[in-house]
Amino acid sequence: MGRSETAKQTNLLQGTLDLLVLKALMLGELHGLGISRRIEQMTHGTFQVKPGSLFPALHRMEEAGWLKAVWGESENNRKAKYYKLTKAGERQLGTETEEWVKIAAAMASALRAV
Amino acid sequence: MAILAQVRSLMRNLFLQQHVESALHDEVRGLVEMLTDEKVAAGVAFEQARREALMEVGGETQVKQAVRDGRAGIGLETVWQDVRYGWRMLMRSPAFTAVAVLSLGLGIGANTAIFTVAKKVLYDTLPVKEPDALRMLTWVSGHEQVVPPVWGDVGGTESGGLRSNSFSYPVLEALRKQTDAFEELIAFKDVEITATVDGVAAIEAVELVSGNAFSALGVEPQAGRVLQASDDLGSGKGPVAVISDGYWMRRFGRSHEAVGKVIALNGVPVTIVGVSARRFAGLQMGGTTQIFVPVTMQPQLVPSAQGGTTSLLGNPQSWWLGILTRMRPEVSDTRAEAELDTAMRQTAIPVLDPTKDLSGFHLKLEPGARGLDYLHGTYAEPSYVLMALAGLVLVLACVNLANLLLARAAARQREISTRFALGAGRTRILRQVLTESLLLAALGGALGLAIGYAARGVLPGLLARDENATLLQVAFDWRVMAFTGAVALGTGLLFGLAPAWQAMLSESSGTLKDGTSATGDKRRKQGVWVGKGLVIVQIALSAILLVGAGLFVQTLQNLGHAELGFRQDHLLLFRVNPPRTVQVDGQRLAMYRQLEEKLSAIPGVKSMTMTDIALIGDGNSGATFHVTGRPREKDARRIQTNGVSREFFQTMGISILRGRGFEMQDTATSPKVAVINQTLARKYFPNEDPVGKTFDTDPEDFAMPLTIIGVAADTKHADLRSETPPTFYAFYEQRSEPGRMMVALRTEQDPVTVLSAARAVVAEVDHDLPLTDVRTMQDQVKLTTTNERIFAQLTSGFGGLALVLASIGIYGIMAYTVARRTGEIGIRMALGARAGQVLGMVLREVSWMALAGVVVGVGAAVGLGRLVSSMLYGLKPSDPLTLTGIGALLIVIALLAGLGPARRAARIDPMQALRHE
Repeated sequence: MGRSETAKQTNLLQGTLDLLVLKALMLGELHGLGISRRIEQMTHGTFQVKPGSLFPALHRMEEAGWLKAVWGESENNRKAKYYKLTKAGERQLGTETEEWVKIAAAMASALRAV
Repeated sequence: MAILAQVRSLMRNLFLQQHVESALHDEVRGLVEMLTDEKVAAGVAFEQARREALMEVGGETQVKQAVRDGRAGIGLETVWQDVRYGWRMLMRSPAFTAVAVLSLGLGIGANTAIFTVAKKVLYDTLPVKEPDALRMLTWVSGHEQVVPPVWGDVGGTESGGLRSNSFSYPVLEALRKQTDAFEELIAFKDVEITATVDGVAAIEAVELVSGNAFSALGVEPQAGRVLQASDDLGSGKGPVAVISDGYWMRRFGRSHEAVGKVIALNGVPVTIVGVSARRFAGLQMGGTTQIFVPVTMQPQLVPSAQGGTTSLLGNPQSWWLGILTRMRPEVSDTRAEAELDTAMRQTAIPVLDPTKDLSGFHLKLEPGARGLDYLHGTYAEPSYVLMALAGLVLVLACVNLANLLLARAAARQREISTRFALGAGRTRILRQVLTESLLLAALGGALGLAIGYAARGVLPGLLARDENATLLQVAFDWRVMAFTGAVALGTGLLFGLAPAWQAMLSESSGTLKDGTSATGDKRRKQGVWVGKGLVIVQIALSAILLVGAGLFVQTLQNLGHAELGFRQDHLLLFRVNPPRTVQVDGQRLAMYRQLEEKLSAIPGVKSMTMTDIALIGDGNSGATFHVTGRPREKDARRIQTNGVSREFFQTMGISILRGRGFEMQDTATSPKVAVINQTLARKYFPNEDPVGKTFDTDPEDFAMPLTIIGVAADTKHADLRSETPPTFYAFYEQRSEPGRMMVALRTEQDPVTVLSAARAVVAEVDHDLPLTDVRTMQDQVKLTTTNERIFAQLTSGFGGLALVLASIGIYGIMAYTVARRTGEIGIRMALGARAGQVLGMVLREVSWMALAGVVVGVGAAVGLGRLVSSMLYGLKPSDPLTLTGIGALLIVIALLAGLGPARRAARIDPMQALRHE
């Protein structure tokens, strides 16, 4: 029972998380921790993405062909995997942004209605 | 491309698993290290920093697992894991696996073998283009045969009228003009012709076909060309032949020199112009046509086909051609049928006997995808019964397996509970258990396919009545494979459900404790109940199969003891079949007289007779019967007739009850006489003496009335089951020119001993005279019970298998029950129960299960028996002796199977059992 509820939550968040990751990578390549920090910064701390959610998403998006990963060195000379957007990822960012804006507007107007 | 990327990662995940794993490890490790570095830089001590970093990440292993679960192909990967795990579990109990795979393999193999044949009998169509657009033309009439001489089969309709697929050539020509009713009209006739290739003569199956047949059916040549319309322009204008693939291989070794070769068919030279497509063997379902010739060659190749007329092409009185039509897609069957019917009646009615009832004489369209189809009628019922029996055996094997798996699942409850406790999901466990079942099913299916393939020729061999068996060519094709695959999958799901359900019960049921506690919880008791239910089902299924076996075995025995009305021992039968070209008036009769004389003179031959048809298993020969002076019945039912030689009654051992048999005074030119059988006497002369009465019959056989000179005892006629039909015996010399005849020699010793002498005599009389269908009368009688014999053998085999499986089931469930109740039995014994009481307690449980199974099974058997009652002889499906006998047998077997576990229970040492608890 507990399992199915968690599943529902992730589903709900999945689209949001993907969009945030794509957006975080818009300016250039980042490693996992960097992406997590960037999202936190972009959302003024509202979303703190745990590695347990972030990494599966990154791998999934890489498999979907939106992200491309290269191994590099971190700021403090640690081996790190850097992710960057592919062309498909940029397109995906465009469509998802559009959709999200539409949904957000719809939700806002729905909630304003009396 | 996103899809490409996904496929690439799927491949990578599956095949470069180690590389992917180590990359993931590096990545997650790198994350922890980065975090730690940051904290150390901020002044936290390393140990502390590392711990905080790990907490923040949420555990390396957990993150990695989360990534793995989201990977492409995760389903495949775990399936593969399940399969490997299942395989290990099966290999850990090889005895169980062997029993399971073997019983499944036998069940699936039996079904595969039977389906292979049934497919041919029930579902296959002719190997031609768009077979579903074909219709077979048929005519129907009342009881009275309105069409005079039919060369071909005349059968009965459901309403008691007659039906046949044979038409006259003038009717064919009239139908051909109705071109807007159909696309193509294909005429054909199967005959046997002596074919001489390079001086070697043999009788071959030949099909006369209209010139358009090959193009209309879309049958292509393998070599040379097929027949075409220009070969079929008129009598004798197309002396060409197309040979079948089989004949090409058999006689010419697939040499291309066959095309262009001249062979002789009944002595007429004919040029082979081509070889037909590989699978095409004529328009009769299951037929084995070797040579195709244009239908207009009939006057040359089969000149004396019917009585005296040479050519049937212009003869409106000869009905002999089968006609297939290819329908136009836009014309409805009803319309085409009406148009063709009108055309047939317009052409046929003026030449038919106006005294007969012609109102019911009509043309009908019947499905033609299977061409001329005798297979279905002959083998459909046995095929259904065999499929049902094989299906029951398979269900039984499934139930048995379910039971074994259930007991095993019980033994594995601790393992499964452990896996639940370690966090395995419900679906994952369910999938694991089902995977194991399907793995077993796949192994059983593979074995079954092998058994089915090895046994593919067994059933056709059993069913075959003679060497020209039409069923011998059964194809083992993809449909059979698909059938076997589907059956295996179905069985796997069927017997996999029980253990899967049982596994679900294990969840959180606390079975990590000892599994044999005296106070076993409710859920496991449910499991035992399911097991017992399955045993009852097994016993019930066994009862059905055993009752079937009992009924069919007794049917066979009853048929073996059936009163034939003549002596079947010491009789040698063979057929002489003079080539149709030997046709000079009186010449054939002279030949038969000579044969009669010389065969009787063979040492060891007491007497001999010749008959149109042999007494048992040689078919029917209908005739009209009208007693002189009585009013002519409109649409009278036909009776049976047989043309026989003088010594018939003595040779067969049939007693003459009144009057006399045929004697020396009866000759070809003396007054026409007949002997009738008892049934005919009873039916037509209930209160008077038939001897001396006269009657007339089909005018084409006898132009004048016949006088009844005697009454002979009844005999079985076409088969052992049917009531004796009213029959009259005519003296063969007094009829119009005799055709082929069956010779019967009454011998002093084993009939086979005179065979070579008989062959020599026949060769001496005419060295071109083929001698066929050689067998003893006892073999001939036996052949008519082929189906019954197969049923008796197969049902006995299936019944035996069922008994073994049910015994295993009872033993298994009782052994499990006793093991589970060891503690409880220990307490009972500690409280004073004697060993005998414990034994009785266990056996009581066995006997009520057996009794329940027997009651259900026998009840079902009585219900199902009604479906096969037409196949039984001399007993009813509810035969009380069979039913009680089988019931008693099953209960005894059940008690024997339960005895082992019961004695183990009785030997339980209370001290040990309680200490164990």
